[in-house]
Amino acid sequence: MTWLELWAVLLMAGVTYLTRIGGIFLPVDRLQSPFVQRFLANLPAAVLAALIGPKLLGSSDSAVWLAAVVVAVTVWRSRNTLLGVALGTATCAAVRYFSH
Amino acid sequence: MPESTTVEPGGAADPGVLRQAAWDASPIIVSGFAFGLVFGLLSVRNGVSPLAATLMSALVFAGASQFVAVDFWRQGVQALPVAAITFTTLAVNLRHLLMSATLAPTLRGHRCSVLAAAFSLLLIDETWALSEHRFKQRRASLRYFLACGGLIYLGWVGGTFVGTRFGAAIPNPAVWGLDFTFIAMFLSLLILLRKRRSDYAVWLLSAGLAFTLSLLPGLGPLAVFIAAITASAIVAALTGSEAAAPAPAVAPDAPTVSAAVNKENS
Repeated sequence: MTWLELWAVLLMAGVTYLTRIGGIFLPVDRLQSPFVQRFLANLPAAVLAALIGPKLLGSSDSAVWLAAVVVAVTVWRSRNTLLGVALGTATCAAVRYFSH
Repeated sequence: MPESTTVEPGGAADPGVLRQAAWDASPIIVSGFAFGLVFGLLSVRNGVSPLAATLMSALVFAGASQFVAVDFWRQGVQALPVAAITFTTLAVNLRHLLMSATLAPTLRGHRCSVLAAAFSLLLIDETWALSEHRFKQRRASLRYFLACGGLIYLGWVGGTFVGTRFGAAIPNPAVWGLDFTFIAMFLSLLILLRKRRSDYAVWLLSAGLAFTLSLLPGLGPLAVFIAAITASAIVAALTGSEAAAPAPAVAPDAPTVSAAVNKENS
């Protein structure tokens, strides 16, 4: 482990703790504003979408696109993330294997 | 202020509560271990040192933000963008603010410092959801929260450790589709998080913005952060009150507050 890695992990832990205990001490009525509530509610999905965007939209690999559809449909129907990840990864591997 | 009525006496351990916690949390303990495995494996493949990956699980204990963070290691451990990692972690975990704000009043009999110690490591989507659910029907109990959190924690950290052992042994990850596992993780979490119709707008706007920004030179990992903040704010501003959950009535003498957050988090 490098010093930079240690710093990254410690800072991650620090900001995460702040978000977890913040609600105990903060004047919670500040968060009552409907805009702030909607903003906070949107944030996790926005971060995830921002991570997927460049990877998916920038990919010309048909295996990746097909596997993404498999993941989306699986999780949508079953609500089971582990199953979705497993089937998606398997699809990606299979398409690459057979298209060689 | 209703003090001792909402919280069980902190004296003798109640085996019933602990057994119930273990039972309620069991599916999450199992899937937590499995995802810990995947996390450990992907971390090592991405160039995170095994110790750092296990330490991250042990100290941060926030799955989604950890998967997101490990993605930054791709640029090499020498050029780790620590600031971007920190900001992104903050953005992904900001939702915890709402959870601690709603859970704390139900455990009012405990001192703030005790709650802070308990929440700092163990307040995650799952322990929050389990506790909120339980405390609506039974007496609120910090023991229940701690037991759920502790067991899920052991599974997650243990899984990560085992995963880092296996990760290095896999020769060519692309053949096994392991490079796709990241996208699969994010996509799965995204679909599980979907609560409102306006979420589709958030997805499209944020993904499109991030893609466009990633084409610009020099922005690097900040593109994700900028896109996420911008998309969240734009959609929050455009969606009217009819799409939003009702604001919770958080007052000093309202012990159970959960309506709004219940709708917005799993």
